[in-house]
Amino acid sequence: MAILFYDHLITKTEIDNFLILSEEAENQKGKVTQLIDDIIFQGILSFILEHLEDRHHHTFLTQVHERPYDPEIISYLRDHVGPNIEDDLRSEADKLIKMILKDLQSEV
Amino acid sequence: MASSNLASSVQRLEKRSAILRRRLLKHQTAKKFFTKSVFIAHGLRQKSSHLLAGAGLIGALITMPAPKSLALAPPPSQVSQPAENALTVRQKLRSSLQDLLPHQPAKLVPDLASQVEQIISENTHISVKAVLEDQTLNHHLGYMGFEQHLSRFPGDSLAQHDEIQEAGLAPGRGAFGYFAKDRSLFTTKEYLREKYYCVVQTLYLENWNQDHRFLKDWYAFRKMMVINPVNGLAVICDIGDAGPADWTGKQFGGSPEIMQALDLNKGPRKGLILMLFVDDPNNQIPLGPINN
Repeated sequence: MAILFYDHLITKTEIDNFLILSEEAENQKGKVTQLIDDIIFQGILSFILEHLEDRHHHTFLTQVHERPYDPEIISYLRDHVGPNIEDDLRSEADKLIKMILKDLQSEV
Repeated sequence: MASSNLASSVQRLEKRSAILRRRLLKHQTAKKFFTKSVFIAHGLRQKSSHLLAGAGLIGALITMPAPKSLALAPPPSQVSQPAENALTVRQKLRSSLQDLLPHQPAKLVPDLASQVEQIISENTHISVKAVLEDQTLNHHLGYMGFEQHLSRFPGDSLAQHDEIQEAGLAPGRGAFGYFAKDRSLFTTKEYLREKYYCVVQTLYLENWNQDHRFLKDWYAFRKMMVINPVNGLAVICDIGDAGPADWTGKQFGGSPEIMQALDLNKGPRKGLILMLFVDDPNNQIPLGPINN
């Protein structure tokens, strides 16, 4: 998959391992993978918008829309949210991963 | 077992996704962007792939966790197309200047400055100067960043600015004061001055500390021409504020309207531009875009 600006902050080894071990059809795994990707994306963006002043939302979302891979987006967030934004995003991503794993592992 | 739960996991994940989507759409600006079909992770990854592959950078980026800076030109499809009648001026400026200008912040040496002045004057019929009345800037080429609106008179508010309100309003006044002393003196002239104001680093001029009173008067609302050499777009602007600070890596600032006119209002919202004085002693050259 092509990169998004926050990919280097996400560790989803446990999810990958879970899916590898799954015996479901590949198309089903693909659907789950895409859903997980969207969940992380929405969670990360929500977190950023909640910590970024409203007046910067348009600029940030424009950057994501036009150059989703661009490391400058992280630089922009460092300037406008704070120097620890990468650590904060890592932590938020870990929470999302835990929630996703819980959803994956729950009994019916 | 993983295999037995995956189908039902999809339902739980879909619920989770819906919850997060609602959380995201609580933000007004996000609503606007999320009507665009590509604005989902999968769509953006495809777009990312397309852009990076087109630039031959995908391998390099994947192996680099978070490089400090990378700026790519937008794909041709995203570059706004000029009107037919403006094409010639833009094309001529673009093609003539691109061969001459270094693509980095610089002060033009006299010979190069003369060539550049001549090209611009011939194509726009506006006289521009790198040195005017013995005054010159530390940079003629430099990075211009996207600025906020400025207060035009005491009591001005963002809501009273008619365009690009999302840019916000800078706290305080510009370095040269309000554009009008009070609202009753706010005319179309001041309206246009703020609309097309630029920011130059007067504070770093060599003789600023000794001569700042004279220099402040000389530079305040001085008419300038700014050109984006990448696309040939040009705007007549006036100096409305001092800055940016050196540490920003930028040498100039532009009002939201200037940045839009130069097609620098997207992505990182900055770009390398050429900045020269307009020699207009009789005040005949109007502010605003000149060729788009």
